[in-house]
Amino acid sequence: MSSPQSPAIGPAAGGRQRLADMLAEAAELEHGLLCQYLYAWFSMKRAPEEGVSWQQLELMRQWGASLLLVARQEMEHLGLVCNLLTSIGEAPTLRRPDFPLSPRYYDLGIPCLLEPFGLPALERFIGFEAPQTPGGADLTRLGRTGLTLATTSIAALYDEIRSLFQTLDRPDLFVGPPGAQFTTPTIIPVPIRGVQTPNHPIYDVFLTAVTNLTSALAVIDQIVLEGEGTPGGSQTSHFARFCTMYEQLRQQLDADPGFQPARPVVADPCATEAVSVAPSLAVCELFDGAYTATLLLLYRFFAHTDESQAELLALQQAAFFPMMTGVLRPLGELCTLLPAQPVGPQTAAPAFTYQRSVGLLPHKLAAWRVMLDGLQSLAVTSGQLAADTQSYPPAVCARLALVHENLVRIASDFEANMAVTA
Amino acid sequence: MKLVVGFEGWIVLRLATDPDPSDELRGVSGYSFAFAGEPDLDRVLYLQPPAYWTPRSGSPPLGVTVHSAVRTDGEACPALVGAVVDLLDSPVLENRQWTIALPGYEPIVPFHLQVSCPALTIRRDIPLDPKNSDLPVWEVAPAVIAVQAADGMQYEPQTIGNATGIWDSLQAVTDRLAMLQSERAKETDPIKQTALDGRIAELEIAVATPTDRRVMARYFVERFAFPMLGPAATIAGDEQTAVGGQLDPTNGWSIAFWLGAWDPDLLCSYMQGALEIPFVQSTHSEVS
Repeated sequence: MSSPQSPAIGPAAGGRQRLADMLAEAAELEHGLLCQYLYAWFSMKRAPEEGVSWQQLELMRQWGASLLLVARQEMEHLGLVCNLLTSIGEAPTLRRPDFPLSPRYYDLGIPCLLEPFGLPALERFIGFEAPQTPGGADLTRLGRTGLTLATTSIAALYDEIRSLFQTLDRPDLFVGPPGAQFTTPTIIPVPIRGVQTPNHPIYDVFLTAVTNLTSALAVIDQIVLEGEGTPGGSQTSHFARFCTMYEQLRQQLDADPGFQPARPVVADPCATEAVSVAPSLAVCELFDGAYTATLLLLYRFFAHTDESQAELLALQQAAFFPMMTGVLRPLGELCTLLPAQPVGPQTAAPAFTYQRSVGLLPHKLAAWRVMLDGLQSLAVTSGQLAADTQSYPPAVCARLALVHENLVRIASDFEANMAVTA
Repeated sequence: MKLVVGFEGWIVLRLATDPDPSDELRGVSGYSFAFAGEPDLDRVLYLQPPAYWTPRSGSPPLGVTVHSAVRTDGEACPALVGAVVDLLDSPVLENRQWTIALPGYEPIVPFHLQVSCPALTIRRDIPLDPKNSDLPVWEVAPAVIAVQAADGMQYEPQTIGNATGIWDSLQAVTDRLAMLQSERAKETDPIKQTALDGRIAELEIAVATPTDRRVMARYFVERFAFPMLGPAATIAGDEQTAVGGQLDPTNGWSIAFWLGAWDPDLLCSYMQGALEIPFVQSTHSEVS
């Protein structure tokens, strides 16, 4: 992979390619981060019956809220980077390498792992989100964790991207069509009468269009600000949130060394035979199938060609809220409740793997048919799993049934929109 | 002639909020939560406080009742005033992460309305799709759902203020925070302390961010208005004494109401509206 330290900006053409490469790397990273943060959330215990006290659960509730907020903002960052790519005429990047990744893969000095919520995971998250040179309140925060940063943060990557945009700015840099840019109202169209929302974040997500240098730099600044915070330190940056979680968790562990906030998920869910109990594996595979279907929808959404506004709305109404919140999140949470092996305490966990063929489906009509087929297959499979009361406890069956119902609806609405536009 | 039954009151609504999944049991990424020691969230609209739920401190009196019952000829029906209004069989706002409907455009499913007082009990079950009452909600066509669904989320501070006396949501939240901090200082039960800690943490976010949904949600209403079609109503009791005639159990029913003033700290919301029931023709001539 490219290194943030290596080549200086070269000739214009080479510099542009370098910018495209670095943006693609940023998209990969943001995508990978959100998977790691979601995985940490999926692993967290949710009830006193899992061996945690009410007091601990209240702290965990607040950690979970923070973790999911950060994950949503990583999705926003991925969308913003796709806007940056599109603005210079490149394709959005929604692929990423499978986990685990070595510390050298991105020249960050930090491995990318699917790891349960705990001090080791939080230490990596702090490293990912750290300012290049922590100062002020951030230095104090970091000091309270007792950690030292011996890594290169993602901030360095964005620093170079920022410089490249400034150096390469010229009329033929921003060749992407402005109409292909996505903003918050286009991905989360909350219909509230009497309230204007276009220029405000919704669910902590704020997507803006990139059409020139000013807007490109504003987007980069937003990503950096949300991640590492302001130079003086920000209480709501991802870095600050993870430092707080780390400090609070360590205090809890000092008070109660037996405290285990995470379920005993498998060490590497991507490994062969990580999950050998067939019903558990089936739910994990359903998660991966839904992840794949969502990526296909997102590819077509971000890199649409001849879709009408109504068709874009249909893609949005399938990909974002229904699939992410009504399918992927319940399935991810379910995975970590299921046994990984016939014997032993370890539970399964989602691997965030997708089919090798995932990518932009280039021909609209065919693409929509492929996407519909995927949604319908998921609806059938989830229905079969929900009906398997021999293999799953009632609470799992009930949640699978809701996922099934959601998928039936998503598929039928998608098909109805396809019929209208065909 | 018709009977117009006006009703209002605070309801219990313990639901997870976006972007939590609709079946989230405790609340994480939204702004409504089940705190320490409390039962799981269940999404159900309780027009009457459920036995399992101990209202949180600061809660208003709960329960929807009839505040007026008047015939369209101007005759009042005092026997119905104070009657209990309920939606039976665990109704929920069916949105399911925008899968069934967009926020503010969700139907209440099932819609099994009951009005009861010592003199009279009226019950009417309204299927979401009157032509296919067995169809599950996720298979009902969007256009059919829209008939019974709310007509959007609307910013109506005056409606809320007039109905509840709450005109300044930020002040209400600020006052609540002070009340809970005082309560927390006196509380000795560790689980109740933890629950109060959670509520206080959320209210602190609200006070620090006046545009947050924890504050703004109070100003919104969702309006419902639809004809009540489907199987005939069950009407038990002395109609003649209670309302001065015989109600038509089948035709011409309609209902219009709003839900609003959602208080995510108390997990309750206000409901106000009116039910219209025609009298049968023979009774019409008798009473008119």
